[in-house]
This record gives sequence, structure tokens and C-alpha cells, in this order.
Amino acid sequence: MSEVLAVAATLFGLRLSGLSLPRLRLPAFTFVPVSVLAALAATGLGHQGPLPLVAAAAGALAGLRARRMWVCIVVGLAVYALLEVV
Amino acid sequence: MKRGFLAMLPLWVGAIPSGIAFGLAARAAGLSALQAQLMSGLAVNAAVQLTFVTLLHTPVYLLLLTVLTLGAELPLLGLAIGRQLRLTWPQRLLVAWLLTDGAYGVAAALGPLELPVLLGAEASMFLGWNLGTALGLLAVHAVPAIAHAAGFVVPLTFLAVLLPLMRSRGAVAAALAAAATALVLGRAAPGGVAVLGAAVAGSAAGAWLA
Repeated sequence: MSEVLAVAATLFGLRLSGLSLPRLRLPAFTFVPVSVLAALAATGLGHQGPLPLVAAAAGALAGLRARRMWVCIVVGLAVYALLEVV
Repeated sequence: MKRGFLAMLPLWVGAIPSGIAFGLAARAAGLSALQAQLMSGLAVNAAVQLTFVTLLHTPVYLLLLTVLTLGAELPLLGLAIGRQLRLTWPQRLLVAWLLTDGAYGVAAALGPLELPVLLGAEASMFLGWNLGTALGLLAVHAVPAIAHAAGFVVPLTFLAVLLPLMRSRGAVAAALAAAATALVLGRAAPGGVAVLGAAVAGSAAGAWLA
């Protein structure tokens, strides 16, 4: 139980530290969210072989075409499930 | 608040299955249902919580070190929010408790960042994640197939959130540089360090091209 609370407290501290730093006006920070999300997507998909990559690419293309986030997830999952079965 | 909450609902497609996966993994690792649900309520972080249950029996200091590296992007998210919103201390505590990258990404994608929209998105992700955890705990023995798919659903969700943000040359350059950096660093460094390095590289690339 103490480990659960320690992890939660550590995360809370990390989140609060960013919010409580002085307001920085650095144009470079504009691209932090895009970079972090891209890094998380790439590392998550990078170690799984070609099948999830194909499914994710299909989802991304469909999502971009439809301009809807959920289309990306639904199409990605559908293609993934299809490729799993085949 | 409602706008942020509703905009987040598509991400429940990712949050619910990964929450279920965490519920299954937590019970399998020996956490009680109460501990697992409490963790989802307090920590609200899929990557950290899923890592936690796999490292449960390592020394606490190693566990916390891993959490620090995995959570290395959280101060950056806070910094990005602090750049756009001036928050009081009670607001800060609430925003910090519920802060997830997905919620920030969606709130930021809805135009200039507003506190009610951000809190709505955060609450939505919190609810979806905890609902998924509860479902996983309830279905511990029934749905191993969903746990198997979680490894794909989580990065797919990041990708879905990323797409609408890629609206400028700078953003595309940032995303590509960050992805490449994360893949290279990820071979040698813990996930959190790789993400932190990718944030620096991506920001530099984006600022250079913008």
C-alpha cells in the first residue's frame, strides 16, 4: 500500500512542479506537447513489429481524412483485429 | 467544462481497455482491488501504473526512480499549461491531481487553452480511466484478450491525439524529430528519459523550422 501512495505522491509532485514554475515565455515550449505525444506514440508502436505499425498507419490516414480522433482509434483497432485474425 | 469532457470521450476507447488491462495486471501482480482502484484514483497515469505492477517486487527506490523517468514529461505539460493560464493555488492542486497528457492534448487542440475546458477533459479522462480499472477488476478472469490489445491501444491513442496538433511545418518537424529521438534513445535509456530527450529534440526542431 505504501508503494501505491509513494508513486501517487511522486506523480503529484511532478505535475505540480511544472504548474508552479515561474511563467516562462520560451517559444520553444510551443512544440513540447506535439513532441511528447509523438515520442510516446513512436516508442509504444516501435517495439511491436510490423503488424501494429500497419494498423496504426491505416488509423492515422483514416483519422486525418475524417478529421476525427475517434476514427483513427476505431479504424486502427479494426485493422489490427483483422490482421490478428488473418 | 462540458466541451472538454465531451471532446475527451473518443479517448475513452483507449482509456477503458488500458484501464481494464491495468485492473487485470494489478490483480495478477497481487494488489487488492481496493489498492488498484485507489491507485487509478490518485496516480491517474496508465504508463506509470502498468509499469508499477510489473515492477512491484523491486526495491522502492528503484520503483520511484522509474516513476520519475516515466513521469518526466509531466512537469513539461505543467509548464506548457502555466504558460497559457494563470492559476490560483487551489486550481493548481486540482489541475495537477488530474493532469494527463491526453487531457492536455485534447484541451489544447480545442483552441486557446481555457481552464474549464482543461478541467472537463481531465475529469473525463479520470472517469474513463477509473471506469476501465473497475471493469478490469470485475472481469479479472474473463477478458485476457482485451489485456493483450492494450499494448496497441495506448500508443494508438497518443497518435490519435497527436494528429490534430500537426497543423504547421514546425509541429510536423517537432513530431518527426521527437519520434526519431525517442526510438533511438529508447534502445538505451528508460522510457521517461527517452521521452524527455525527445521533447527537447522535438522542441528544438520545431522552433528551428517555425
